[in-house]
Amino acid sequence: MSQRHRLAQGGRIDRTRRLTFTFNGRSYEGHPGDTLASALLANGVTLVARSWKYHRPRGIVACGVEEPNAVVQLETGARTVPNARATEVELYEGLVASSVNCWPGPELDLMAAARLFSRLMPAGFYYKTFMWPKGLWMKYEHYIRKASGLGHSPTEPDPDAYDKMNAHCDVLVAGGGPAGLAAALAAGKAGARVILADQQAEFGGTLLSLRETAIDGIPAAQWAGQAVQRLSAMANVRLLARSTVFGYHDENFLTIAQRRTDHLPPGERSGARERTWRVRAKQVVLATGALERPLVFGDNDLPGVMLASAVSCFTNRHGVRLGGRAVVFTNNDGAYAAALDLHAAGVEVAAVVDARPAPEGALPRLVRDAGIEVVQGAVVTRARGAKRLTGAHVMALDEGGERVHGPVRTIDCDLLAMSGGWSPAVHLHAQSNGRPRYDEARACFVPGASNQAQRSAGACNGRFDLESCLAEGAASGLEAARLACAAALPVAPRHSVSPATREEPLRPLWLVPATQPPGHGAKQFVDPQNDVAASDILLAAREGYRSIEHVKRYTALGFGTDQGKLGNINGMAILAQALGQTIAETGTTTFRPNYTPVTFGAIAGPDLGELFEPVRKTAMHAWHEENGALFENVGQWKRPWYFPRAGEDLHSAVNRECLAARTGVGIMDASTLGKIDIKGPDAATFLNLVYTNAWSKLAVGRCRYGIMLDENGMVMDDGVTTRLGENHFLMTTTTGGAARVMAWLERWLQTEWPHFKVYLTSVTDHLATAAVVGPKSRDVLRAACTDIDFSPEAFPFMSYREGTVAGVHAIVTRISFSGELAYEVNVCANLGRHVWNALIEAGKPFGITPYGTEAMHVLRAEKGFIIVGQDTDGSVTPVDLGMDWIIGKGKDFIGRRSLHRSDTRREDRKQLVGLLTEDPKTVLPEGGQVVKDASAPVPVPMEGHVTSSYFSAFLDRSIALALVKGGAKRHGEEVQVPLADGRVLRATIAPPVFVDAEGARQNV
Amino acid sequence: MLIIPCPWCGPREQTEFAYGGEAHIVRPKDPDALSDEQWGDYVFMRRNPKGRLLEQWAHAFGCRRWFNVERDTVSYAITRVYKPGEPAPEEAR
Amino acid sequence: MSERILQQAPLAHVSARPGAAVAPVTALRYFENGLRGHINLRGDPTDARFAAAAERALGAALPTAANTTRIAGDIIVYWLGPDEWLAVTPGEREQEVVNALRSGLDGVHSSVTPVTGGQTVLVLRGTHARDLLAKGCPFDLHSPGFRPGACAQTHLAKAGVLLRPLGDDGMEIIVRRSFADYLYKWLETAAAEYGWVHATGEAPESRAHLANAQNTVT
Repeated sequence: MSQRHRLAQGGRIDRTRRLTFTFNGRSYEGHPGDTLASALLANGVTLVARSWKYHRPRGIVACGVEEPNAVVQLETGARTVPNARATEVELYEGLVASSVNCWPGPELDLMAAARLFSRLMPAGFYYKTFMWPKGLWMKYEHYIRKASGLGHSPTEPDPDAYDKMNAHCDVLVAGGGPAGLAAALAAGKAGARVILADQQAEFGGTLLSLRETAIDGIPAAQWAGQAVQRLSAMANVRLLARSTVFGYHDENFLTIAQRRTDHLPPGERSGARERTWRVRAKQVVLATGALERPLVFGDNDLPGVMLASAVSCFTNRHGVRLGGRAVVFTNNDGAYAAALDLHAAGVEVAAVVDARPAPEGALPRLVRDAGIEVVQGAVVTRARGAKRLTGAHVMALDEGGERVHGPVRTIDCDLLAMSGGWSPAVHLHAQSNGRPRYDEARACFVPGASNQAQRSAGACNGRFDLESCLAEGAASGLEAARLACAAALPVAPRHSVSPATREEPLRPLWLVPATQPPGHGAKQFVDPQNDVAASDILLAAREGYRSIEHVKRYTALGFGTDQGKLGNINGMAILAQALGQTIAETGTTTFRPNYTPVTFGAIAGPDLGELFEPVRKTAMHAWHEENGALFENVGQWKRPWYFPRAGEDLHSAVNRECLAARTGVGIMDASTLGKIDIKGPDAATFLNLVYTNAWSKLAVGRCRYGIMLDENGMVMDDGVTTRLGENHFLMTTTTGGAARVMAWLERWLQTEWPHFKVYLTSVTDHLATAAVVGPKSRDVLRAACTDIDFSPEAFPFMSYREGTVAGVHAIVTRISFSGELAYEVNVCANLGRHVWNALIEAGKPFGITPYGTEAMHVLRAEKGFIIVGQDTDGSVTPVDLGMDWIIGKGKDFIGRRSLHRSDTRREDRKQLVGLLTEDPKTVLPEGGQVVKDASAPVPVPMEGHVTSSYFSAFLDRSIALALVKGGAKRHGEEVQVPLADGRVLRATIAPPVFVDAEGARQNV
Repeated sequence: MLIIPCPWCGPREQTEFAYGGEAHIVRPKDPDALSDEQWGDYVFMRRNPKGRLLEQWAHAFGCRRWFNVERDTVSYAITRVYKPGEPAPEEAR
Repeated sequence: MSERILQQAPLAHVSARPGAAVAPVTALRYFENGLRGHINLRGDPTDARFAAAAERALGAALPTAANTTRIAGDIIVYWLGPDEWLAVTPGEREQEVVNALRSGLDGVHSSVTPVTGGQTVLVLRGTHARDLLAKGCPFDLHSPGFRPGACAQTHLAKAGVLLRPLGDDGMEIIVRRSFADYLYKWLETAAAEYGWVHATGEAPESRAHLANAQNTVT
């Protein structure tokens, strides 16, 4: 199908190349330089969507981010993009798009029956109608959501990559229109590190849509191109095109979404699709421009009704012939440019309807000179047409602007260019904690005082003529550079503009009066994306809503993917009128990030999959992989979970591993435990304070287990600490608690006890640790190490020796987390794999068996050894654990006083116990609730919960640890653990040590 | 996101720091002399002011030093940083 | 008895992959400067005995300005904190330097802790080295003040790192052992657009500092 609405010449499109694309299943052609919107219009496609609630036919209204209607589903499958704005989508070969929210398509939309019931769907209809009766809401909701809503998100994994970039600059300029270009030029020339970001593919903003204007003597678009060339030549300037500054946060931290591949056919895309720039700017210049306001009149949502600026843009920039006969409806001078642009493009302009009684500015004069009729003091009260505009009703407006009168004149037209004035894009200013204020003279919100190092320039600051934009841009850029670089700088360059663009004031016109009161005649849309009409806002006011924030939520004004960029200001003004207050008093809704929707990919960046979180590995990790380990996440670490042999499942492997450690010898990688070197004359004193037990008298060469509490008396970590010298200790912490404990200890030393002479150094990563466990561990150590006497007398339990293992220096501790004879061999991690290999080799004659965390858990549970974070949860004291023996007497320690508070002394606190199931083969589920009688009336009183539960191959029965109310005195009592499937398991409370309560096995 | 001026390393991004809550909470010299309520005040009760707050931060990904920050909880403006042991700005207490 | 002792730098498994011996200068190239000696030193720099003993053992005065380094022959000393430094030595000199520090500091409140196995040195070379790092590092790597002689502790993606600029196109990264594999994967992913070359060596002037990532001695 030919581009029958394409002008023969003009515009920034390449007519020598054709791009084929598909919209709603039909094939069309466009040119490079087109957006999807301009290409559709060039093909005469004016009906592009159905509205959200009433399924009214809708067309393209705007040419940029504010577009409410032309929201399309882009591409299909994994790369589909919901709710892309056709006005922002750059056309590429093979593009596929479809309308959203209509079925089977916008021309024939079966869901349009909703229009018949529109009277039944006033503001707040959700709340009023469907929430009652309550039980049916779930059923209604399904159908309402199907009929409403916009595009659908992809269901397949995103095939694209995304990344992030941190950047620092002196001056960030947001927006590359005239003010932004002038600002970047001035700041760049002054030598500042500058970032200039613009959301479009091409810098220049509105300059690219101007037909006759010249800057510094050259056509505006050409001037923009030259400015970009000059900026590109500056090493200190970074230009970011297709980059939307979407968030403005504290301390001049701004986020920019850069679209790097969306403009290319999917087959030609490579590299990151989007990059999120995280920018710290010393100074910010906001040059975000302004958004044109629509006018609110009857059926103003008909396809063919467009913003005047969009008319100019599509005509001049994209070479589109938007209609055959046009009417321009305005309250200001600016829209007259659209009349002239249409006229120059050969479109008949039937009339300019101006609400002002006597427009006499330069542009109106040019329009009259061109022979175009100007109907002054008049308004368009209603658009006519079914699926496309066919005419406009024009009536005279009274002096007060509240009534129309006189005869209705119908002007036939298929294009209506409207302009209600301009709204500065104060979004980023507001996000930065600025407070936009209402400027009565210019009838718009403008930036208020800045609360960050920031200034606004150009149209976003309420300067709507080009000369002021350029001047303010240049001055702002220079001032920003001066402040950021603390240097004296040259004067700002001046830019001349011809022809001059001075304009007469506009006549504010928020709601065009009609012959019938709002709600009775044709709908006057304020927010087309959310189908909010003036009558909805007036209804909300009648029903007592006063706050604009409440009216927003009641009517849905300003929700949706465009966040009310088009119509919010009209809604606020209509509410203000209804409430008899000023617009300033009514205020705005809150401007929050993001300025435009940002993909989840851009937010996530590269932090996905294996890069989502650091995967920490020990020096022996490769050995574990080579030997078939399955891994478990412990904090950020990957630890071997178990080492299955052929045909083994978790349980058979773990049973084998446990029995090896209890009857022969096992080996486990214990490198992940936190290790802190503690040095200094006050080291023992310090340990006395951070652990519950006493350390001063620990002999050099000995090890001791310690429990660490927070000041609330609750267990926060545990581990074995070895006294390496009089003033030198090596502490171990839990794997997950290593960093937390290090920071905790440093904090006490630095802030509370700075007079202590103690230095801490983390050696967690430096030392690789192999635990050799079991009755035959001594034999293995003797085989691997020749210079340490491993006899029980020379090297007793809970002591350490230094020596040579496998030819390298090692710290060997005789400690046990299994209750068996066991040694831990610590070496420099560069030698970890070497020593591990050697121990495996030395252990072969003894059947050494590598085991993982699951067997480690079983072994320690058999001994009743706790795991902090599993058997404790931040609400457990050492007394609750039955570990009164570890609480030192006659000394203070962190958390000690809390153990004597009324609550921690309670005897019915949850206390650690063992549970033995009635059926020894049944393993209780961890987390299972312990009750006295599961058949008791609901709610069944809770007695506690299971914290650890395993099958013990050594005992040939299940064992469990639990926290049970008053459990220490309930040994022997029968309890029940009800399961989700209705079964009730019976168990008996027992002491929490199941194997070798007297500790004989580890003391051999 | 804040920029926090570490007293040693200078201004750095907030992501390098760890937060430590209100500063100048002094551990009682003789906890046994305190009633349960007094001890509970020390452990749990914080001022949570609207306005200027003296708080602790650690340069966790940097020099690992703890230090004090005077920060406005409304504007987030950091008006002063000082090292442990240095006196609190009186007017803010 | 002669025993083969296998030393492995944290990224030995990466370094073992075939790499370009002489990488093109324009590409972003990476290698691990593994198996160096790493010694953590803590003490009070205002204590004259501590400062003097450290200077004697290391061959240069400790850098006391925050985030600076000092090079003494084949030893690089990094400021880590007001009472904390890192000395990186050739691997074979570690024990000698530790011994010199410990004997010199006998009776002085201080801490000399080898952390050799706990971290490794990565070197990035290429015009986009800083751009690559900026993808995951909030520190201003392009600031004019961040040049040779400076160092900075910060984070790169989600791993803590110690950075040392090596001129306009080079950066040294010291990272903890257990994070090295994660960080390497992150670097490799982030570097894809610049052309990532795994190199086996670097320019002659710095070859003196280079040790093989995997080393077998008898």
